[in-house]
Formats: sequence, C-alpha cells, structure tokens
Amino acid sequence: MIDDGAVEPIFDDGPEENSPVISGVTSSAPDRSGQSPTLEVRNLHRFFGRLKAVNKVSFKAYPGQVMGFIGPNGAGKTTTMRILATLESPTAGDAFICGDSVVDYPDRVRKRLGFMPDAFGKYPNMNVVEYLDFFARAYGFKGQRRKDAIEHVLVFTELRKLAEKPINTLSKGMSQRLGLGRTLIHDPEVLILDEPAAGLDPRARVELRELIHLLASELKKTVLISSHILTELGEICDSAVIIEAGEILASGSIQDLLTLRRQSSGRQSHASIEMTLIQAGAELEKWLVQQPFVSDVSISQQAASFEFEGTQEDQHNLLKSLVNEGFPVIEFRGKVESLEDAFMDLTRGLTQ
Amino acid sequence: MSTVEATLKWLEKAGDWMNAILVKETRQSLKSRQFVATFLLLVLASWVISVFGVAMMGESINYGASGQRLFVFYFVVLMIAVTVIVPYGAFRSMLGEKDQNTFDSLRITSLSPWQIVWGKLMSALLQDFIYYSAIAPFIAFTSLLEGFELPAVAFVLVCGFLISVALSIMALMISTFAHQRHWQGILSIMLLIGLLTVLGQSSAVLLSLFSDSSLLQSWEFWEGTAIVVLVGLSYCWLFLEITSAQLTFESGNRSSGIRLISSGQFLLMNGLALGMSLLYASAFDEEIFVIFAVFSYVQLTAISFVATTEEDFLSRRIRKSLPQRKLFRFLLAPFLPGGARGMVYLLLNLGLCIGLQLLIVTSIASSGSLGSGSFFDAIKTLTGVALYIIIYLGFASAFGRFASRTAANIMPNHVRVITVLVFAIGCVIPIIAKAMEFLRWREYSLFEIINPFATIIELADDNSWTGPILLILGVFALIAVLLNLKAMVHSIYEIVAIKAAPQDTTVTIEPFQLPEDSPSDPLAEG
Repeated sequence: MIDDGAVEPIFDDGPEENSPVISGVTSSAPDRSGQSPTLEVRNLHRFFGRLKAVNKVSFKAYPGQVMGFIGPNGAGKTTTMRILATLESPTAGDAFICGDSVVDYPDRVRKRLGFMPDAFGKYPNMNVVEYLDFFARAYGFKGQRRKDAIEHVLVFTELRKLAEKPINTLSKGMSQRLGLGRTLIHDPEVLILDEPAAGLDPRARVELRELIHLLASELKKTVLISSHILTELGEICDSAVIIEAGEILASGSIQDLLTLRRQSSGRQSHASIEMTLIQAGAELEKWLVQQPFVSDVSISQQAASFEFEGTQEDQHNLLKSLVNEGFPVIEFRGKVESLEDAFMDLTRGLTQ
Repeated sequence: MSTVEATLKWLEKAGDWMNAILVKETRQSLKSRQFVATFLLLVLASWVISVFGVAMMGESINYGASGQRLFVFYFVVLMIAVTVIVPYGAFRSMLGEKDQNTFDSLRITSLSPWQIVWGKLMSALLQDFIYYSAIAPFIAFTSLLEGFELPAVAFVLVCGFLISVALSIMALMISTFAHQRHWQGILSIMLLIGLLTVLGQSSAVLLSLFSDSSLLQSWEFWEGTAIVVLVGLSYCWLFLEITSAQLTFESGNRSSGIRLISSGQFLLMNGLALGMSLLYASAFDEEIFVIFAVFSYVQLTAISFVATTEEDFLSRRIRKSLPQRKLFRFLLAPFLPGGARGMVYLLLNLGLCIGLQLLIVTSIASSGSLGSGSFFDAIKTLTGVALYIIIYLGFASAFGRFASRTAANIMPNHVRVITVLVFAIGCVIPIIAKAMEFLRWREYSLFEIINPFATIIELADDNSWTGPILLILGVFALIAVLLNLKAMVHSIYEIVAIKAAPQDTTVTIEPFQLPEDSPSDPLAEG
C-alpha cells in the first residue's frame, strides 16, 4: 500500500474565496515527481439543468494507489465515475486516463480502464466462463490470448471452480467477484469501482478488500473506489477524496484527512485519549483539567476521555503521574480516528 | 484428430473472427426456452400440417396443385417465426441490455456502436437461418408433389427472408428510442401489432404470386422488384445508421452518417425516377413522378427536422476527427452536426431534388410526350411543398438558436415539439374558421395558406390562387433563409477555418468555459 499521501488536487482556477475546499491538506500532499498520473480529473463540471451534479472537481491518482471516493447520496460520485468511464460527457473540464482525454478519445480510454458500476448486469442463459469470454471478445482478444485472459481472471478472482455455473445462480459475493473479473479481463491500468462492497456479507467484504489490495500493491493498478462503508474504505484506501453537493470538500492521504479533521474542529492535538478505571469521579476530572496539554475532559462512571496536545513523552509522564496520584487506571489508550470520523466532521449533511 | 475435433477446432478459430455479440447471443439463444420452444413448435406445426394435409388430400395428392397448397401452410408457419418472433426477439434483446443493466458494461468495451447493432442483427439472421433450415425438409417434401413451382417458391422464400431482415432492423431501431419503462411497454405493443399486420399483408401479397405465376416471366415485374429491393435496402442502411447513432457516445458524431445516407437516398430515388423517365418516356406517368418526389420530400423533412434543430455546438471530439484538407472539410461541412449546417444540408438537398425533378420534366418534354403539361403542374405543387419545408424548418432552426441563447434549459426536443404544435395549429385554425363560417367551405381563401395540406391541394388543382400562393410562400421562405443566413455562413466557415489537430497527439485542453447561461450556485440559493 502506498501511504505517502499521493493525492494531488489541482485547482486550475484556484479555489474561490467561499470555496469549501480546504487547501491546507491538499497543498501539503507530497508530489510524486517523475511519475505520471494514471487518472486525472481536471476542473470537471456536469450540470443537469440548474443542478450542479459535479462542480469544479479536480484530483489525480497514480499507479498502485487506491483512492476512496466518499460522499453522501447525490454528492456526485457516480456522475464523476460515469464521466471517467466515458459513459457521460462533462459540461466543462476534462478527465484523463493514462493521458487520454475521456471526451476526445473514449475509445483509447476504454482500453485502459475497467469500470464496475454499482448495479452491473448479468446476462441470462450464460455461465461464468461464457460471460468472461464474451467480454474478452468484446475487447478484441482472440485465440490463446483470450483463453489466457479468462484463465488469469478465473484464478485471480478464485472463480475457477464455478466456471461452468450459470451466472444467475451466483451469490452476491461471487457476482461481485465476477463483476471485478469482467472489469479486469482486458488488464486495464485504472479501475473504477462504484460501490463494489454494497450488499456483501462480512466475509465477502474482506475477500473483496484483499483482492483490491492485491490489485494495487502487486499489479500496480490505480483504483478509484466509492463506498458507503467507510470503515472498509479506511482499510483499503491510502487516500481519499471527499465530495459533497458536487464539490470536493477535502482530499489527500487518510492521515492528511484526519489531520484536517482536527484542524477543522479547532484542535491541534495529535491524540484523543481514552482511559478505563476501576472508578472515575469528580476528583479525577479536577486533576486532569489542571494538567498541561489536556483539554475537553469527559468523565463517566468507569471511563474518562480527553484531548491531549503534547508529545508521546508528555503522554508517558501524564500516565506516570496518574498512577502515582493513585487513580485506579486499568487502560490508557489513544483513540483511533477513522475515515468515518473525518467524513462526519468534514461533510455538512448536504444532498442534492 | 477426428473429423469432429477438426471441425470444432476450425469453428473455434472462425469464432475468433466473428462479432462478439453474435457469439454471445447464439450461446444464449441455444439455451433459451423461447428459442427452443419456437423451434419445436415450428417443427411440430410442420409435422401436423404434413400429416393432416396428406390425410385430408387423400388420393387427390397425386393430381392438382397439392404441393403448392401444402407449401402455403408451411410458408405461413415460417413467416410467423421470421416476421414476428425473430424481429420481436431482436427488439427485446436490445431492450434487455438496458433492463438487465448490461448496456453500460457493453458500451465501455472496444465494441463500436455499429458492431453492437451488427451483432444483434446477425444473431437475428442466424435465427432466421435456423428456422429456414428447420422448414427446409418439409418444403423439400412439397417439391415431390404436383404443382410445385420452384421459381415462385424460391422467390417467395427469398422475399420472406428480406422482409424478416428489414423488420429486425426496424425493431432494433425502435428499441433504441424506448428509454423509459412505459415507453418500452407502449412500443412493444405497437411493434407487435405492426409485425402481425406485416405478417398478414406480406404473406397475402407473396402467396398471391401463386395465382399468377406468369408474373415471374415479366421483365417489368423484375424491374419493379429490383427498385423496391434497392430502395428497401437503402432504408435498411439508414435505419441501421440511426440505431448506431442512438448508441453513439454523447460527444461523438451522431449526425453525419444519417445525413450522408439520406442524401444518397434522395439521389437514388430521384435518379431512379430520372432513369425511368429516360427509358420509358411514353409510359412514365405523372403519378410515378409524384410518388418518387413525395417520398423524397417526406424523408428529407424528417431527417432535416432533426438536423436543423440540433444545437450548433460541435464537440471537441468531432473537431478532432475532421479531415486535414480545407476542401474536404468544406465539402463535409453540411453533413456535420449543428442546426445551421442542417439548414445548409436542407437547402442543398432540396436544390438537388428540384434540379433532378426539372431534368425529368425536361426529358419528358423533349421526348414530345403529350403528358408533359401535367408534369409542369406537378412541379408547381412540389415547389409549394419545398417552400413549406423551408419555411417551417427555417423558422424552427432560427427559433431554436434564439431560444438556446436567451432561455436556459431549452433543448432541441422542446423546439421540435413547439414546431409540431405550430404546424398543427396552422392546420386546425382554418378548419375552425370554416366550421364557424368565417370562411366558406367550398372555396379556398388565402387565409388558408397557414394550412399546408389545403394549400397543396389547391396548388395541385391549379386554380387562380397558384401564383399568389407561390409568391407568398416564396417571400416567407426567403425570410426563413435570411434569418439563418449568418449562422449558416458561420457554421461552414468555422469548419473550414478550424485547425485540425493531428490524430495521434495528446489532447490540448481548451480554456475552461462555463456555459453562458450557467446558474449561480444553487447551494447558496438554498
């Protein structure tokens, strides 16, 4: 996995004064000098009448990167993805797959892009191999090359044993695997997956996550993935773009987004601390408030939590003091912030 | 390696070069209940006809036209399969891509819209072939009986096949217009009714051939058949192009193919009329002339109605695909998308049609045919029709351009609906005026000039109003052209002056521009 915050938003016109885009994080994202982006969205707009479904959206992604595309329903995720997949035209702006414009060269783009829509269909009266064979033919594969491509996909998606099974009888998880296999049949460099985990059981979700991880880390595919299951995305993605009401709210590596979350809520700390005690009380609260680097103290019967802005050394000293003061501490841990936290804090609950 | 293995290997290799859709649909069809049921029913029905036919004819099977009688039954069974079930299957197959959410996956493959349409058509033809093969042994059986006429049977079977192909193409085209569920339902019913009607009509017409098989000896019969087949094939090509255009990417060129094929058709139809007038000046009557002309005009109106009301915008993708040479771009310009270029296209084609019609009349007149006067009368009527086409489409084009600049959200389809409404109101108002006795029923009034049908009938009758009518229509047609003149000149100039990009370079992004009528931030407006 790549965790160097490779998302590099572009602002052709520069963010406007009232733009919700927070440039602090985006500007801090490190460059990938020497590497060309395989996916680039440049100042993309898509209007439906007066509705701005996609508005000034720009971002880049590089080989081996898994980028989450997060937003509430109606945020413009699917529209953006459909434009990238050449299924719709932008009102203005452009997007590029491996340097080819989706508007000008859709034929070239289609050869280098795999798109898995949220509701991909299945043909009746077909088995798994026939389904993959059709798409291999549709991408112009002939003879042994086609057989190899099908075999490769069957092995990668672990559908080999179901090769002769009618596709209409596959489970949801297996169907999603087949959909992913169909997307991979022509070995594209960029994969766009719209809600691939929707409706999957926990095991299927974990298996899908592993497949996507393999695609990025070993096959160096660029993956743009949208999902409502943010905990999943947090584990799959190394970066994310948060979109709401057609506009990008924030983008960057997951770590950058969490930092941004703290900044946007006015906190500079690096940790939220949670403690479990045999008994917590007003005395503990009073003591904590007086300590340096501590703020936002909250106490319940057997637990306490607070924000801590100091270093790890300071944390260690605080824990030592707590024990020396005789507070019955059982657990002392930094609360793990998730993509979900960042999403909830950064989005405004707007839908279109 | 056994023969079977070798054949299978050869088939597999051949399959590599076949259309992907054809391979897929064949596999699906062979497993589908609908296909298996139809095939079995066809064979079963043919068996029943054979058994009952032979039993009922008894000894008379040895004399009379027993072979012909049995063939009629087999043919009707075959026609049900190839003119109803196969075309309807093609229609459902294309709709199924949308219903089953497979269309998006299909569109993003390397298959071009033409390949998709062609694949669907080929799979329909393959089914035709299978049904023909299934019925072949039964027809072979009739050949052993009395009254079997091979030329007539062959002709009828070939015609049945051509009708099936044409109907499958039409069904595919219609399926691309059904976007919403309710439209799909309505179009399905309408198509079924249409197919059943064609089944009845075509079977009756084709089988009537057996009552007068001497027709097949007639040279005129084959000439007429050749013309019908030629014109029919040109329509099939046009419908395939329309279907392909419907599947084409939004920023792609959906218009040029249709415009080019249509122009070819106008040339073909008027050329055929000209050829006939030259070959058979004495026998070529006014009715044939008018039929060809009206066919051309109706089609020109339909195609130009869409062409003249398109948005003038030309996508970057189309610009990039233009030829490098200025001369070629100039020649191609009227066939490129855009309302103003659509007007140029309309005027060019009308000019072409009128020119060929005048040539026909001149050739008739120079042959000394007595009937040339009626041709000149027909020319007056056709001129009236042409002027009406220019007026309605010219004003529609200018209105569409004006509306798209001044009002947000006005789409070409809105302009088209408004034009049809204006046309309908123009037709209805004089009728209402006559009903309310503001106008006399039996006399033509110049007020009725807003009703094209009444006016054209008046022109055809060649009464005293002919001169004033043509003058008024001419003035309005001129206004319609003048309203579009600047846009027309600009639309051609922009194509000629464009600097075409080399085909294989990475695109240079044009400066980003929001549409002029783009709304302010809807979020800010709450």
